[in-house]
Amino acid sequence: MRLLVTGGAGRLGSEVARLAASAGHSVVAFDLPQVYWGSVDGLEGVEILPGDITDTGVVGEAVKRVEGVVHLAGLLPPRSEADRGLTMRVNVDGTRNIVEALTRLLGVPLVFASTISTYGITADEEPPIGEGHAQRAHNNYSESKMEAERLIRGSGVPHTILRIAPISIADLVELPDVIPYRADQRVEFVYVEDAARAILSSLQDPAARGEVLNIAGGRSWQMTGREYVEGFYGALGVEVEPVYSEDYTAVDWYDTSRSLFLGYQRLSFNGLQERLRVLGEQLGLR
Amino acid sequence: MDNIKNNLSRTMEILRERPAEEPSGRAKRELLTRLQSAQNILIQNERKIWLRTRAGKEMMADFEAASEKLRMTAESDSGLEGVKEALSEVETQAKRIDDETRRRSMVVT
Repeated sequence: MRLLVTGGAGRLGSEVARLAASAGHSVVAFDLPQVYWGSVDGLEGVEILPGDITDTGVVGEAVKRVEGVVHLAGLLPPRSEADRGLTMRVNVDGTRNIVEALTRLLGVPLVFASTISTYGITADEEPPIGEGHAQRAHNNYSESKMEAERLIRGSGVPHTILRIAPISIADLVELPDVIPYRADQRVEFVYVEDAARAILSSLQDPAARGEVLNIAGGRSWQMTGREYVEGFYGALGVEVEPVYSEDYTAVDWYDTSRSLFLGYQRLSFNGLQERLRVLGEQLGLR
Repeated sequence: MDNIKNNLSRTMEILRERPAEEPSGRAKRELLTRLQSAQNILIQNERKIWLRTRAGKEMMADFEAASEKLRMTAESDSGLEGVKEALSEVETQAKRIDDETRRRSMVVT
């Protein structure tokens, strides 16, 4: 299958490209020319296509001759919150470009990366949060993703909408100045490779067509913000002094029972910690 | 870290002490601006976790060596061209650190 992956040079996009190529698919990785391409450049089975998702002509060309599209390109927090106009152009108009190009190609399936952030701040509710939960825009990012979902649902293009939890990776990542959730807040992340697997399964499994599905790590990833941060950096062997958000934010525990058929929840949080311990030793942190 | 800061600060002091009326005053101001930028990158990154890794420590050692060469070049009273050349290496090291930090920023969807 020849796949177009928008946002294909990013953390999740490059993982989707790598996984798809290793499964024998031909991948076109589409992303802005100025981003870091090192994660996909030179990968066998992956073609690099620099371009801007807001450029209708470029997007129209990019979707030609593909048999499936994974649409991940978008502005994320904190950048999405700095400029509402730009966020709507990239996340909504960019999605419109993809959808309009696909309506001219009959039957090419689309998997769209939406976000659990569209459920809004749910800290005072009973978890887990299922797909039937009302969506509440609380910032530019969630507003743009809700609008993009609406566009896709009304397009007639065969699609799957995945509401993906925050991504975790087995690598040393820097702490932001303020952690974007409270220490005592419920959080649930998903391992990057598992999220990529969910995306590919959605594209290939007809049972996913027309579905809206939560994608998150599962029971072993359900914890508090403090448990996540301490568990992550503790495994790496690093002492940190995190500053947590004082307010609850749009991360919670999620009901992923409807997405389990995608077979993606492979790495437990303990498994991630094992990888981080090995990495910590390799990096000289332990 | 402190050694690098001291080397950069000392180089700035030496440059400022040079007579203001010299014909190359503009070039001097430009060098001072570039030095300050390198210093700023260092300050912005000094608490980064990845600097504690083996690779991070090696990068800091390269940065320190470049800053020391820059200070010694400035102290030797060589012309601004020599300082400029040594500063380019300092900027290369500062950029490596900045790029690595950017690459390791936290991922949130």
